[in-house]
Amino acid sequence: MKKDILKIAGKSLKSRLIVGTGKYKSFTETAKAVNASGADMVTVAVRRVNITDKKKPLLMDYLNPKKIIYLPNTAGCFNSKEALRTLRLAREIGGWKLVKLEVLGDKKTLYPNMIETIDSTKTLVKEGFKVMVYCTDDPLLAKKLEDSGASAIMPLASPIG
Amino acid sequence: MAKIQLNGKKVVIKTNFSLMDLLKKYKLSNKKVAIEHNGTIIQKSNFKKKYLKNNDKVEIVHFIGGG
Repeated sequence: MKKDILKIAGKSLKSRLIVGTGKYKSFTETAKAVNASGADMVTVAVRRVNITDKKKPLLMDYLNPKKIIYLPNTAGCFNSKEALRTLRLAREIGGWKLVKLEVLGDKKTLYPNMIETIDSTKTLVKEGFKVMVYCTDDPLLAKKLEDSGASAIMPLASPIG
Repeated sequence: MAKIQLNGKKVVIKTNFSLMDLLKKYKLSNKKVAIEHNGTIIQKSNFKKKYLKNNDKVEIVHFIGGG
């Protein structure tokens, strides 16, 4: 059977599944779930290091970024400034250029703010990022994102919150 | 001695302390992290050259589960 490969921004994915890494009980459980899923890509968040506990385990100790693609994302960002800062920091952490942009517009439904999303996409593309964009399912806005240089669009299927 | 704000917490460090010294102090020098110094993201190649002074604000971030 012919291999069914999904290509995004030069990355070849065998699986269509992109798995989140939040809300697990432990990193051991995260790693088990990700491995069982067969996904080639996981979303990760950028946060402060816990400086009061030097021995606290790190996600990278459990999920090797050389074996699975890390997709840094901006979940929880409600404006362009926050989202851009987060992704610029993400790029600095590991040299990642492929990122997931989310600029949220509503705390209850987690609907995206499409105006700030499009503006942020343009800025990130200019800075050399490859951007996968969380967005609404409006085809005209999706086209606008494509024209702005988005590598992929990720429309929400329903309100999330 | 100098007082800085590190990840929102007040921390006292020695004088002539670089960002690399700060990473070593917290056992992070061999970890994948990014540093923001007074609102500016600092490239890794400059960690040894960037020295801290009183009232500086430093953010050290890394990847965690989420999204």
